[in-house]
Amino acid sequence: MSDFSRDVGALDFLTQLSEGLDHERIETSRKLVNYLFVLMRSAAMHDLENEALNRPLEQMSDTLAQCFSGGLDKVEVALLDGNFFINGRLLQLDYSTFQNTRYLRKIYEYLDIAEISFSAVPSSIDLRALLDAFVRVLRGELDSIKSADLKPIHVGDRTVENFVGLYGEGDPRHHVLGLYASGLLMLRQFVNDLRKGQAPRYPKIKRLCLQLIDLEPRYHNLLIALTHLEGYKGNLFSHMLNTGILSIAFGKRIGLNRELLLDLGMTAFYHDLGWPLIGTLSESSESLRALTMDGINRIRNNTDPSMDDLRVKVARALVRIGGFNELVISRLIVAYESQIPTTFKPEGLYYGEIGANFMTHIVRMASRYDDLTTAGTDAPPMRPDEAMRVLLDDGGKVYDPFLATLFVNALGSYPVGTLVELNTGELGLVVNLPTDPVHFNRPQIKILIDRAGQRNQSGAVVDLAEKNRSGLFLRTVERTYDARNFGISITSFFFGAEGGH
Amino acid sequence: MTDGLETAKNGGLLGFLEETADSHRDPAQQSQLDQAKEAFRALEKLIKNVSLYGLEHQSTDRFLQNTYIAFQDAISTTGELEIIVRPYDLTVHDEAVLENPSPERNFIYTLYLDGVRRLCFLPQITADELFRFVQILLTDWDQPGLFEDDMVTLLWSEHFLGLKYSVLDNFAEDIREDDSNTYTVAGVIDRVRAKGRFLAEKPDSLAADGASRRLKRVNLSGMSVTDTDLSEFSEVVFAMDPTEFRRLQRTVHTTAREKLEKFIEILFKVHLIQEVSEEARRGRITELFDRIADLLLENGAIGELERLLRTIRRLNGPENQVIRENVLAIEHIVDHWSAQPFIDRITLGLRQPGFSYRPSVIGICQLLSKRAASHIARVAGRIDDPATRELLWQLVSEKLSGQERSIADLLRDANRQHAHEIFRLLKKAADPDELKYAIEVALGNPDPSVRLEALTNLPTKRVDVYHKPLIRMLTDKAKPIRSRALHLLARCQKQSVHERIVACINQKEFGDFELDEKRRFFAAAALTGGTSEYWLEQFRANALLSTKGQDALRHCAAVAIGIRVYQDGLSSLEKEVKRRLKYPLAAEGAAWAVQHMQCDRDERTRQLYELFYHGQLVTQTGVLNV
Repeated sequence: MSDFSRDVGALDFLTQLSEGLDHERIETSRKLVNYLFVLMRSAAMHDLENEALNRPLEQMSDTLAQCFSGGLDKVEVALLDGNFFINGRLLQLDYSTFQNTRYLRKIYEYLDIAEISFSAVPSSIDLRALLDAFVRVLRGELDSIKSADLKPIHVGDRTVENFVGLYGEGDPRHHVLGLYASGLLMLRQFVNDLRKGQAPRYPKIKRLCLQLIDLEPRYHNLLIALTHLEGYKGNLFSHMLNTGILSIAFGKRIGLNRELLLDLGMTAFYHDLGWPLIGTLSESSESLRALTMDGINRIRNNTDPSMDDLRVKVARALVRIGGFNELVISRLIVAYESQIPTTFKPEGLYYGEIGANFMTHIVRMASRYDDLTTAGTDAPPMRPDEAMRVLLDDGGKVYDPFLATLFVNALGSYPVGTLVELNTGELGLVVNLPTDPVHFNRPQIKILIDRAGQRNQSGAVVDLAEKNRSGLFLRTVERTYDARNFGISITSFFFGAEGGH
Repeated sequence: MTDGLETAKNGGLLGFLEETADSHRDPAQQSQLDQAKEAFRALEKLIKNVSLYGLEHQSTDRFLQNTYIAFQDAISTTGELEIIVRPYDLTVHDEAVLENPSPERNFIYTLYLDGVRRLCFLPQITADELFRFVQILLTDWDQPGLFEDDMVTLLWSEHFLGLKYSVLDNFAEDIREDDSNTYTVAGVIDRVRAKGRFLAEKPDSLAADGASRRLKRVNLSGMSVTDTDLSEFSEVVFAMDPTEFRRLQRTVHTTAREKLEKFIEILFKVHLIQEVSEEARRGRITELFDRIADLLLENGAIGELERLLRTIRRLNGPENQVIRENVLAIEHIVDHWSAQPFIDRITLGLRQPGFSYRPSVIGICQLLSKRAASHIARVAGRIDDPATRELLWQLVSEKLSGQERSIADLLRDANRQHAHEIFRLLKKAADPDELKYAIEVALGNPDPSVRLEALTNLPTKRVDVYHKPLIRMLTDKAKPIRSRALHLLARCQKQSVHERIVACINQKEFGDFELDEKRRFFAAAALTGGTSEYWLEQFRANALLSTKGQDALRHCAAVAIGIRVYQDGLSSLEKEVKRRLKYPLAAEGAAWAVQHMQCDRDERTRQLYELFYHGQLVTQTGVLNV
């Protein structure tokens, strides 16, 4: 872990952070691609025993040895979407690699391969075997280089991690799930980069936020459903994403403009980001726990109520990320104001009589909702409606009562994913937000068990705000259940294969 | 030598690597391609021009116009112009329309890297949108403020109506940290789609927590939304009640007001600045707060800036505890903002009639350090509105102590009114040396009216200490200055002063002076010292045959004798008066001198006053006709 104790203030932090390490990695990656191309070009021009190949072979071997000496157990030179990636890191081109990568790409395309990987430092014989296979393909003596046994070198296709074909064309779940999955992984990478002292890819976070903002509001229910994804829930990166999703969904519902939404979304992502940056937690087991929300909240809730030191630590860590930049002020403020016990009201945090930022209230509510619906070490997760009830019944003790009411009205007192039993005897799952904010307790439900008690896979989606001719509601929520107890995983309910194409 | 590749690819490896794909375009596409090439040639010229001369240069408009027309032509062929972004070039119908030879600082490569794969120019694109697009292409990515931006975020923030773009959806680097697939897209998908477990099947489960009997054994595992359900999902509009909406607006607005205030307080609390060297700390404070001020002033939020400054002023530390670092930082901020650039900037609006932020500007100036006094005083000189000027002078007066010299320095190039107001202020200075410094500075002002103002403000009781600058002013180009200096010097009875005046009289240029001025010189010389005989000698010289110039000198000498009340010269004077063949000037001077010698002290004083102030020779009965 890098030494974060030295304050470097404004944005120079970004360039100083692991600059040396990054520079070395970039240089080695460039050499690798250059030597690979030179080797293949030389093989195409000369006999494999020709002395002209000796030097390129040596250079390639040396460079690979350099890579392995850095602790890698595999070196991959992969072509993805026209770009070369070395062990998953995008190759940054310069004058020396610009033209060579262009040619190497053509060679990859000609060979119909996406990756050349090395599981150990290859000997000269290993490399010659690769070149021999390459030349034989060129001569037409070998159909495909992929069929050649070249260990420890692997040449072939790359496992593409996607889910094309999972859903039908035009199915919104393809986009929503892709957005969530890539967002989740990216935020994990982001958090890990920060912990390791590596410069994270800041624009990607912003891009994620923009994509969430641009998502069609009619699919917010799908996104909200994903906030219940188990297996990741409870980790900081998952919490960041879920808080962002809930905050943006709420912000869009109440009509915030794009700039405010961006500010709110980024604020939600960043509100607990100071934690992985706090150097004092770096080596202890506490630090590992701290990257789960359970661990973070344990520290946060057990600290002296004034919490000045902790707040200052988190804020200081965040200042290092954003430095002074008018765009990141809100993030710093919200992160600062959020570092209080979850059941405390954000007041008395400043010398003057200034209350908390409205974004702090939104982010804290979204964050609390996510925390409450997450299983802790000691307690099972709350049902979505129970978590929302906590916010609604707060009565101004923790949250601004006006914003809390608005939050619940906007996302519904029976949020997406709540299993409800209706006064009609039907059982259903909340699949969409309430259509009428006045009746925030009347969401849209997919009927799963009909009045006769029969399981109904093709049950209709009904709006609980619907009334009959006498002006009475057709259906009303009688009680709620934990969907898991009925075998429902909220995410698979929305994204399960059975319900897909 | 290997020949396989040559056989396979006709032309060897390099030939294969360099070959381009054949293109099959219909005439409309070919025409659009040609026009697109034109458009991008124009775009290149525009970019080059902007790179050389900047965005604001007047020639940019012309290049932009040409580019815009060329783009519209290219768009009009098919109703849109679709550009495919490749790593090294932009293409239209599979042919490159723009290439960049260098991968470094190359916007094409950056677009590609950031995931932009397609740009589509639509007919509704405006010249302004095109220009903003060019600005994005030319972004300087080294700017710290762009640390979390890339091409896509900048395109997004511009809300283009005439430019669509496609970004690779899953454009992410491979994220693999361990062997498990937990942290892969596939791993996430597996978990998303994992069926729930029906806990009720277990005897000790909490299943169906209190559900009615008919629901106790219900297993809903595997149920999911259907395609029909998905197609029926629609946006649920959240109609807020107007009262709630206004309340929300107020909440958002109040928050926005407090944003900077909080930010600064947090910075102080985290002692961000104290942990580096003093010099670096100061630099950081300066940079930080200048950006804050820029931000507020760019948005016209002068009231907010005032509020902020008041906040900063009280950030010494929590109650009953003063944090030294905070105090130093505050002093540094305030001192930094008390410099000229900041004051010039915040007071800019004061010159506009009806400027509504006047109280805030005055309030900000009030909060600044004494160092601001001279800069405020400079600004006061530029303001036409008397009430505003007066307010500013009031501020300067409050901060005057210790700032006298820097304010006095303004006199170097002040105009008359400004100089007048500065002297009015500086006269209040307790230390007379400060006034002396101011007068000396003002005497160097190119405007004679300011120099005169300086002499007017010179305290007559302390003429002695001013004699050097006054003597210097005897050779001033402006007659009123010389005259005023003479009048002041006349009170300074010192041989050295006398000699310097006489030296002036003996200079060649003196002959060009008008009579009234010559007379002042003689009068001053007579009053400051020397012998009366000297003037008598001067009077008697050339008595028989005088030129006009000599006549004037004899006139002045007679006046000098009169001023000296030199009785031994009386006969010569009377003789001149009675001469048959008179030299008129000498005679009149003599006549004046004779009567002057006969007057009492008060009358003589009055006549000297007239001589110095009005350039007239007056007697008890009236003005002499000279």
